[in-house]
Amino acid sequence: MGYEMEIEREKAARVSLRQKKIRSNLTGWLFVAPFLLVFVIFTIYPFFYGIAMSFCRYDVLGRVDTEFIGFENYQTIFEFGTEANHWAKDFWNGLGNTALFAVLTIPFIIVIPLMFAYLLNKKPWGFRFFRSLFFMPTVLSLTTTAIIWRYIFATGNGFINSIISNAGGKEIPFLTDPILVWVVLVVVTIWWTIGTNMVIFQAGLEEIDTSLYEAASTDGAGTFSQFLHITLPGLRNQFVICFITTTVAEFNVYGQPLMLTQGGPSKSTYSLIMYIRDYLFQRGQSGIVAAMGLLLGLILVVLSILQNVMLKERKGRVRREIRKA
Amino acid sequence: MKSEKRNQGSLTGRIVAFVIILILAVLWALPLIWALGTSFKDNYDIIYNPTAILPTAGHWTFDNYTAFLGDPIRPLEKWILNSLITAFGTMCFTLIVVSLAAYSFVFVDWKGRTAVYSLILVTIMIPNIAGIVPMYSMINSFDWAGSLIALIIPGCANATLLFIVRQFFLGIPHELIESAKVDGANSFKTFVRVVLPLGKSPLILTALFSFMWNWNDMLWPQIVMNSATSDMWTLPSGMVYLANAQDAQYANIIAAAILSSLPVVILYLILQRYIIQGVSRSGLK
Repeated sequence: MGYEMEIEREKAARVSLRQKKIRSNLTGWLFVAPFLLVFVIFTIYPFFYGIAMSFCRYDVLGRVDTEFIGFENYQTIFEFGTEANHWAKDFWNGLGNTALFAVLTIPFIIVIPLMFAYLLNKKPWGFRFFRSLFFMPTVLSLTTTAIIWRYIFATGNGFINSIISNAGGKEIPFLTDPILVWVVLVVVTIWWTIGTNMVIFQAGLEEIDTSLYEAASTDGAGTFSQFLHITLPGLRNQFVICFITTTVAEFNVYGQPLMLTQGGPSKSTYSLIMYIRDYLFQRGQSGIVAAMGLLLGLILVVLSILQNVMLKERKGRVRREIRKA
Repeated sequence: MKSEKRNQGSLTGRIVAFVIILILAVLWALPLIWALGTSFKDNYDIIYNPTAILPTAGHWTFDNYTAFLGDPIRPLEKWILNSLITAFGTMCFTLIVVSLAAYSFVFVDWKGRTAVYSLILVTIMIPNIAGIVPMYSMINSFDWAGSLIALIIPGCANATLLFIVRQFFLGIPHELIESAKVDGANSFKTFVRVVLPLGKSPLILTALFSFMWNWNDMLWPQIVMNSATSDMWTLPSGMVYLANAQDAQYANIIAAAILSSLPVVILYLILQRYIIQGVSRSGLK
């Protein structure tokens, strides 16, 4: 009798345990369901759908029947020299301009914030106020930023050109000169975006052990040598974050040329995303546009991985050097 | 506190840093101040005093700010309202969706939890642009093209924000959850009464950044509103259109640009501590 009761009890316990498990499984999925639903529909699915569509003739508005055409879209993009094919020309022009923009901008968006953070970390009077000021443009929208700067650089009664003509000088065509447009794009991007990296670097600087500096200065190391051997290695993690996020941001360039130069002069600042947006609604051509987007995405993923690996590599080397010493 | 003091370094260092920073600060503030000043200039000053940082005496006006209000083709006030609805909507949905999911990933034991979370994390790497064409297809098939809902829902399942909130929730002791359950609270009650109040700071971050990202996003709103009438637009489409309007006075456009960033600037001025912390600790951008 007692024995059977024991079994019954154990059974009940097992059942309740299983019930508990089912219940917690149910709760878990229920809580994560809203996120997962939106995430699958608008992130995962479009990604794979995009891959599939890049092998098809397809139209985002459904005006053309979807039809599998193999690598034709990619062939079109990689087909050089054909007069009639504007796709290859535009893709490579857009990609080239985008890459040039990234190459011109990234060094500044790393070095200038680092310099600002270094200065702020000396804790000059009012450094909190200055930090807020330097970060401020980051929260402005790109449209606001671009509109302000457009009238600073404009000919006619733009701010800088008015100063120049008041002084009797000749107007400078900042927004139409093939070289000056790049200066404008880079300057505006610096002004607009240094806040993020500055704040990241500053947090990194505050974490560096000050006793390292004290030890170095008793050893007779100068400011520059301290910066080189203590500050820079101490900011390794911040460099990884800043390089990767900045690269991704600059390769996504769209609004600055759209609003400041309209991609000109003669499409020399037209970015790849500007082309993607232009061609998105062109009848029956969305497959090529999807392929363009995927290729840009692929480049970004590869660059992120490369930077991660390269900066991690350096970390290993530093460790080895320390061990040797 | 102590380390901050030691960090201050020498007096000469501070003086040199101060002088350089002051110069840079002037450079950084000048465009903002000039734009703000210009937005209050009247026609006379616009034409004859474009280099003046502030309007000259007697030429102050508020007209630039009202120039596009009630305009049938360029209804600035509608764009601002639409942007407010969109950003606020995104913020609310993001908060709900992300905090529920983070709770589930941290405090509920379910099959497939790790696999699903890893999958979500991996996709952070995929740039948005890779999926933007099919995204539009989805929106179109839901018949959401040209509607605000297309700007609200797709962005609310944000993996980066989920990561941050989950990271914070991991620091909440499990005993608190267990004791709440022993007291008879179900999961939802535990979530609302225990986890939400404790997770205030990552949730403020989530709210802030989802709002600001949405407010400042440019490409997606333009695509979604491609064929919509101008009274349905949000600010990005509207401001691009305004900036290219040939007949508009440039002080009017600058005033509109300032107006269009006012909500985020106000948010920043009030909550900058959280914003700067979020950026420096989590690399939010």
